[in-house]
Amino acid sequence: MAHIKKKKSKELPPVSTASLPDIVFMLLFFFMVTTTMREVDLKVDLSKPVATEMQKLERKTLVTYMYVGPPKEKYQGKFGSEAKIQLNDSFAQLNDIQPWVVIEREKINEAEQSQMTVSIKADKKTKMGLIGDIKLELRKAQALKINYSANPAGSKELLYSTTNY
Amino acid sequence: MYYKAPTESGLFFGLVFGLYSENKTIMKTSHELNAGPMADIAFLLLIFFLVATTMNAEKGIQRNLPQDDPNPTSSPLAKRNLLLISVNNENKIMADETNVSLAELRPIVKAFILNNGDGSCTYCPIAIQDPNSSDNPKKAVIGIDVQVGTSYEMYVAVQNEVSAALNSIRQEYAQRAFLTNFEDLSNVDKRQIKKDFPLLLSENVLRLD
Repeated sequence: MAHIKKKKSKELPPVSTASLPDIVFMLLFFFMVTTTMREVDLKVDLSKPVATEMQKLERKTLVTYMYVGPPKEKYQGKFGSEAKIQLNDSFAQLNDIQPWVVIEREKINEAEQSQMTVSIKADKKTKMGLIGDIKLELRKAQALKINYSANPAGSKELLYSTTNY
Repeated sequence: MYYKAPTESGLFFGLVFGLYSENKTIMKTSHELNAGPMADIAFLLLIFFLVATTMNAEKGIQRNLPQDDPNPTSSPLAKRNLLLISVNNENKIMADETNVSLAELRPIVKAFILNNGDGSCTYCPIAIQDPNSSDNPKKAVIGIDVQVGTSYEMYVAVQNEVSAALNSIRQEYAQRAFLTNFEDLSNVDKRQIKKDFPLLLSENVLRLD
């Protein structure tokens, strides 16, 4: 029978750090499961509007993102402070939208191409003139499913409390 | 060869394997894996994932755009079947030619959809049957007119109210007919309810000065 030998020293044994990796790995797995990779480097300022009646975007592979807002401060010298469209990693014009939709649609597997959703992430101060133009371009490109990206309204926070209408 | 594990199960296996290999000499030398650097590696990975990923789930208001038709065929729409919501450059809202606040919009949209003027909506609750409001939910079109200078925030807020009105109608119907929440229904039932109370939108950006 094996028996456990008792160490006969008066010193306190050092705290075992062997379980530390386990704890850190657990944290790591938690973050790997709950988070998603950043898609692009944002070049526009985005403060999304708030809403309550939202649907979750279920199939990530079917969604493409479009960003609309004033360029960030470091880009303002070059691009001005007017709201701009960002597609992938660069600023774009209205007539870039149609070819962009075609390219993005190609990335989705063929059977599901009709279900492609374009998520418009626009700054809340954007004027509707631009959004209307974007929607017109999306219609021409046959990208008909769209999603107005918004933040959930907190329970205390009233809708549009920040600006007085 | 076995290693001294500090945990309980480790102790158990250590004892079991220790029994089996009692006569072997290797068991006397115990090897311990140095776990220190492992923690560093794990921390490094952890920090990488913290930086490279985002937490927020994507959510938003879902809409379908109409087909782009170069020669649109216009079908006549009775004025009573259209609830026109206009938002001007100063983000002031007008519904059916009266100024309203955002909070008033939801009951107006609900009353308009559930008006049931021609009585053909047998599944509607007690109808108001205002002759100047919609015939039935399947004909009730909501028009949203915005101007070029309207803010996106206000537009999303109006869309949100329209969605909220319709969702609450669908929810109330689900409670009445199925005695359950709309969200808990099967997909077939949901689709049927959505067909019974469709969202008919007509949007326009006005380019007037």
